[in-house]
Amino acid sequence: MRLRIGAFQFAHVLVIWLWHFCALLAPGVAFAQGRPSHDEAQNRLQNETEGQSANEPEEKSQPQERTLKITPGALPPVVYPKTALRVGVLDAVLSGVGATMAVAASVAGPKSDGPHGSGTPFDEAIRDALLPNTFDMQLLFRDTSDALLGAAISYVFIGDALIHATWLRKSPDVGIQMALIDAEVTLLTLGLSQLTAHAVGRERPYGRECGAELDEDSAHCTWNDRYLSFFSTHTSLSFSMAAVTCAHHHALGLSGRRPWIPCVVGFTAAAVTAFSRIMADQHYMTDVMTGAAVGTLVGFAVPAVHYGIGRLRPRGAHSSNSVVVLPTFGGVTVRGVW
Amino acid sequence: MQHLRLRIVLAQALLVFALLGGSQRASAQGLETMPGAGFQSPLGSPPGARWSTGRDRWFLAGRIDAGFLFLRPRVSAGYGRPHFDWIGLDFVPTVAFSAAGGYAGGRMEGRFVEIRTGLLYQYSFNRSFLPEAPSYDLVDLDVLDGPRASYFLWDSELDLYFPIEPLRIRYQIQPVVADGIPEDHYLYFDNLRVISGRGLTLRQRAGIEFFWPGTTIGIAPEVELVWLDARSAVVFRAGGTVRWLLSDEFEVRTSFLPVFVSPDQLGRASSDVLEFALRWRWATE
Repeated sequence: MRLRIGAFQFAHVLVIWLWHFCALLAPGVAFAQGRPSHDEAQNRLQNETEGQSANEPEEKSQPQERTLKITPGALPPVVYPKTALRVGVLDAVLSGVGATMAVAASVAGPKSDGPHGSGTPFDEAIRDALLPNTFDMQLLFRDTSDALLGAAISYVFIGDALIHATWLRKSPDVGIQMALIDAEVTLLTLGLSQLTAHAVGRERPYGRECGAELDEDSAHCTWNDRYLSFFSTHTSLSFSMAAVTCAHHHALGLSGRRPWIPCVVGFTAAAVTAFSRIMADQHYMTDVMTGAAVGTLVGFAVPAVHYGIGRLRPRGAHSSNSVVVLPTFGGVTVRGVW
Repeated sequence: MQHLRLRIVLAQALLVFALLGGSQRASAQGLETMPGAGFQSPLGSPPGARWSTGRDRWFLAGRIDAGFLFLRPRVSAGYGRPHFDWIGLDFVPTVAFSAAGGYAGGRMEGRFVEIRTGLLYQYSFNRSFLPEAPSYDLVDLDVLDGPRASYFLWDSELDLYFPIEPLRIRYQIQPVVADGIPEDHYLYFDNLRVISGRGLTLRQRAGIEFFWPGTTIGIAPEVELVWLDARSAVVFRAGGTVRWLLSDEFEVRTSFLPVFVSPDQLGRASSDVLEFALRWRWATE
């Protein structure tokens, strides 16, 4: 019987776990202290409408007991902006397209005659510099990237949309809109990455070890997954989750005056995920760079359409989709507003 | 003299019964022991309000654990108060990227005890039986050498809860007996995350749960020991679980139990690490 996990490895995983758990709790803990609760915010709103100034000193000026309470309504409610576009049919279609692309690519299987053997000189230089010496360490980084991606996606759906918006702020409408936007971002990113990876068919860096360091009969070598190097789904999803979280917090004011905190935490975690994929010998540098770019683009673009374009429209106007088809010289112009 | 001994035994039994009965408020699920219960949850009934109350009845109930990337449904049919105090049958289908199968068995859930026993069948898409070896790593696990692993497990579990407010001590024991494993071969048990063989595989877990003051967040440091009879080896894990009760219907769970002692080196395949799951419960009225 041997001790199979070193202190370093244990600490490594523990830090990641604690980091994400703190990130999950951060909104509630940070804002439940010293900020008006849901009920207090409602009372204050009512007082203001009854003519009392919100700036008047409160009658009970005694120091309030500061106890940490994390219960529904511990944070002030948030409202989905009237000028912002709500998730609709077009979003459902785009989400469906993303899901279909991912499934169709998986069913069709990867291109078998894609680039094999090695990456570009730039890729090989980065690989040589970062790749751990032992296979055990590579496995550790692979597990780390899996865990980080799982935590990132869980945070977006469970931490932010469900716990933060719906439960802590008692704003289920905002929570639902956030979750639907998150789902659209996830499916679009997944569809793009899977379609590209299967179409390109680039062999993963570890592929060169099949028949040498790795058993040719192992699942690593026999499965189609071996040829899905370009581009990194882990990285693209991690960056898209970071971007969409950042966009939600900016647009909805979920982090008060510090909307940069979830952005910094999210993108840092995404960057660690990306480098973990290289250190796990699952991807080349160009794979993760492309994944990061695509993920960030999709992660900002979808919420930008909902929050940004809607904001340009007249305040109070109802959100609706419209598509105009105009004949022009040399063809047809399609103009859409959503 | 014999009567005296009998009386002492009876008195002790009554004392234990009274102690347990006296803390009936602390249900087996721990929902009533935690502070903060009673708030209005936007996600359903407040924790401790729905399942613990109501009448005994015939019911159909379900539980789904969803996360990235898994979906673990459980359908139950029985009599009593669902998810709280009942007796009946469990059905758990398994459909994953790596395996398919299912579990069916009986279950009794009470205030301080939860017991189940049943048969589990699993067909693995990407794993074979493993030729006997003193140690394995993740690559060994993924080598397809022979037919896909297909096996039956007789899987039982006993959970005991000792509510000592504000704590809740939990002890869990799960004996598993495998059938269908070829001679001189072992098997990766997905449900226990260990490589074991014919005969008994015994998992025990003990933990103490407490709720963070002012919250419905339950934290439980835990230790787990798995005895692999076929290999005469032990797997030891330690860490904890965290659950956040959002309502009686919704709960967020995560666990972190890395392996400290094991004959194998399987990475995350042998650990219980960082799975965030959203649990949803429902039942017919």
